[in-house]
Amino acid sequence: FAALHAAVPGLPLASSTILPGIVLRRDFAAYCPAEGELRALLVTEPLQPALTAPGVEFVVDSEGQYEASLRWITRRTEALVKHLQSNSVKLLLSSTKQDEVVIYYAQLYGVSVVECLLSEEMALISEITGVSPYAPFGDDMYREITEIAVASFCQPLLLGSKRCVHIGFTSVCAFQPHCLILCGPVDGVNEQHAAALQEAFTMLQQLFKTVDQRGECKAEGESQNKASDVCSWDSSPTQKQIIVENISCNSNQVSECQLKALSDETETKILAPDESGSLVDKQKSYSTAVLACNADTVTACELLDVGKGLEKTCCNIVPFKQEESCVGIAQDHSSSLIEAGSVLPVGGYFEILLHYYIQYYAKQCQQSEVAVVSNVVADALLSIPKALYRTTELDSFTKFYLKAVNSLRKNQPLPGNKEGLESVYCKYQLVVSVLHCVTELLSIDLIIGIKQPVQKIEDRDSEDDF
Amino acid sequence: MSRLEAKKPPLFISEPLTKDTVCQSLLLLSRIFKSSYGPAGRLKQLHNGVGGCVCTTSQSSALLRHLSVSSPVLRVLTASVQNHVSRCSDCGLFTAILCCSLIENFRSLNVAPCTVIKITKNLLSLCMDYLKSEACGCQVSVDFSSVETLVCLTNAVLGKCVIIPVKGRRVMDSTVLPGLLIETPEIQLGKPLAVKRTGSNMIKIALFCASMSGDSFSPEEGTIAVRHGISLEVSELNQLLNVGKQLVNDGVGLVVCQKVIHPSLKQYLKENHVMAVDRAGLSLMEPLSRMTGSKPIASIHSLSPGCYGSLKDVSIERVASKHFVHLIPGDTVICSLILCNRSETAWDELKRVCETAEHVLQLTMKEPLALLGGGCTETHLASYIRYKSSSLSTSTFQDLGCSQTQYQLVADGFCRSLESVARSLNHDGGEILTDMVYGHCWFVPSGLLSVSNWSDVVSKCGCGISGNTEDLSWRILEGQSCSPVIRGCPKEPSVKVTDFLTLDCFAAKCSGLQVALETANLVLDLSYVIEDQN
Repeated sequence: FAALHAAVPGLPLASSTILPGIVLRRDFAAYCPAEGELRALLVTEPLQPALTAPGVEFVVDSEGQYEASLRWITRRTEALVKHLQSNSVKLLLSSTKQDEVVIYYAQLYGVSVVECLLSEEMALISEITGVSPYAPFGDDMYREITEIAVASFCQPLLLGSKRCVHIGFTSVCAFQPHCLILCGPVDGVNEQHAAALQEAFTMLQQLFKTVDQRGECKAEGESQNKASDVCSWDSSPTQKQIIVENISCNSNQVSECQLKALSDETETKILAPDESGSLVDKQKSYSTAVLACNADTVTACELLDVGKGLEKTCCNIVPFKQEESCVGIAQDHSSSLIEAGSVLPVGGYFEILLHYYIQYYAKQCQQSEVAVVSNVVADALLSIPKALYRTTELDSFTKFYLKAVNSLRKNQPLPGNKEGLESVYCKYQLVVSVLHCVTELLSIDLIIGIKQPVQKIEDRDSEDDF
Repeated sequence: MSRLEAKKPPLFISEPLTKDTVCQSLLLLSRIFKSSYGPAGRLKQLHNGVGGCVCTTSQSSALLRHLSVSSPVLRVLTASVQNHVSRCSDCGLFTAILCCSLIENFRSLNVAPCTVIKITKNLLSLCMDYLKSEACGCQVSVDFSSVETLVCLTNAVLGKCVIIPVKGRRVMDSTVLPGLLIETPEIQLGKPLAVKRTGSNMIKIALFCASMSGDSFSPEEGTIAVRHGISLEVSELNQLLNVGKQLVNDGVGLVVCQKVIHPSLKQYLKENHVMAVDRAGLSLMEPLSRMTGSKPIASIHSLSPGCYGSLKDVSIERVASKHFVHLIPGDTVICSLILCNRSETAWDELKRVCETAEHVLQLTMKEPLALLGGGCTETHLASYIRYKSSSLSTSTFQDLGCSQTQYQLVADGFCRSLESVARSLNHDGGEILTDMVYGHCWFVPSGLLSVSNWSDVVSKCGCGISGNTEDLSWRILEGQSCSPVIRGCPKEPSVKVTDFLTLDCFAAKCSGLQVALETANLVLDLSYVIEDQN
């Protein structure tokens, strides 16, 4: 990516464009304008023969010999450039700095030269054109040059206040190179945009990954079941019979009311054998703990607060993955659970759906600890859409939530928005990673501060042990 | 001496624009820029209390380079303006003032920043569409065949300009000379120049970019073993003298070398009436080769007759205490600008101004348009936006997700910022008016108390395009928001009073407008500043 974008500070954002070909961020050492297609060569070593080399001693016997050697070097350079010209090579791309004499002859014979290319740029050009660098001094200098790349155009380009080289290559592989020119008022803005675009490309690569039904471990496989429900929401949403009370409190207390309502329901369903009383109390403390944090707090904090109360029950549930060991609700899947290219509209739909189905699962769950933890996770998921709707009008989150839940209840498709899409696979990976992370954090019982940085201990020979 | 300090936690500031310190710094910066703006702008002296040179300037590039801004929020602003100036060279103060006043105006509005940003983007697209359209009332097309328009744009001369510094003379001694000047030591003064000429009375010139001092070949890798009794230096000198012989045989009259010429070679050439100039420097190589048509020779072994160029004349010039060899070509497309000034800082300012002028001309060559100067484009654009924003359909508001009131507030803030830029051109008191028909900017000198009829007092608008004041009605440009007067779209003045207009560079001003607005959006969007203290 680094070779395929250029940042230009000082121009307005609207000037950002995409240009075909590659932009090299240095100027021509010699520029000879040429129309149409050009033949180009890649070189990695200086074209001018050197008098000596490392480890080689050049012995001068007479002055005439010295003069003749220097003259020979110059003539040989000229002959080489002439040879290039006779093969109609019009562009020389060099990864090292070329001598002035080479530049002079190149200018004389109409060959444009660009020097000091980076190794990544050379590698990119090699890959695009399928051409390897040309070694001028092999056995025979005058042999036919086979490593020629074809460039469709080659011209200088003004980026901001710097002149760059803009070359278009005809690509032999499926990858057609384009260069992204990012403009912005300050460097920082350009860096942010470049990073965001790079991440967008990574996301697109992830988009086409699939998740199969029966993965390696039981836990993994079953966590996907939930995700599959997400995919199949628009095809055949499963039947839900959850009674959601009509909530008419204001936005600040919505979650409280909902939680209370749900916890009331789950209370009646919890068949925990011995800890019913204490568990119910803990349940209420979880709700309040969740509410104590506002929407800006990281999910982990909420779960941590909750987790402290859950210590005892947690020991039985290590790792959290077990809560994903659900039997799964009615499924009508193909062989892959998350198909390649699955997308959902943006705006919190993924979270709402996952929240809804986890809560449904929690109600049907026999083990009370799993149900409790599932509810915590479900409520934590809501923090994302809450943050999204925070900047718009005051109660937009409530409206969105109610609309979505009502549609799910009636098996209707969710009201979508046309603004954008997000990849299901990426979101799935995100949720799994977050749960892993939380699991680890909750399993830590002591943090020890040390003065020295942690060093890696290498294996030593056993003889030192004595 | 370095000390070890305990690592302080980073400083975390939320909502930086509501803090008093930032507001005050912003006001101060804004005042500095406003008071330096325009032809009547006052100079600022940048002074370092512990010594070092003093800089007196009113240019944004110099001001921003030397000013140290501590607030991170304002550093975004200064960095953005500096980047713009490095790209466009002109309209730096315009961008800075516009950006500051946009931030001030939008900050005090009771509209959420994301809504403000959406509305300003819409306004910017309106502005740019208008400015780039054919029917724009403040656009002037530049005709390169008439010098007047170009002189209006800047005061520099077309063609490639090489700037030569001379300090200690009066500004009026600055001159333009055709051809190129190469600085030389005083040795050659006094003797009449007898330079060999060719049959057509031109002087053949050979241009060398290689070193002719005899130390050309020192290999970086490996070693050279020399047998006893052989001297590499003598060998190189012989080679150089051979080159000299060939030059003389080819009838070359002037040899210019980028690097040093060996004294023996210089002597030999002088004996043969060939003038030798060395230490010309890399920057002169390209202009010299373009001016004379000679190809710079890169190695003393590769002399070919096709590399020589031609000159019309050579002379010695003396300016102040410096001596120059003056090369005059056959066609005077390339010329040199000698800039003189009394003090170093004034000379720096003059040099920067000339470079800016040259850049402006280059930009205008790419896009042959200019905008009216003197504040008229700003007021014209402001009245256009006021007119447009009052006649938008409701679907636009729905698309943007804002209400009409919000849009009007933001548009009013935007127009007031534009007008404040025009107002800051006035440094001598007096009033600034804008007319209701063309939307131009008119200055009224101070000292005239309540005049009943403004048209008796004003004579010419800021850019100079219209002087007819009879049918126009006026409004005083103030800082506060005025009542939205719905008037027609501002028109283009049909009658041009004089040919001498004040013009601004189109590309630089458009780019400046966009950069100012985007930077203001960026600053308004900042909700947290996290600063690492050590």
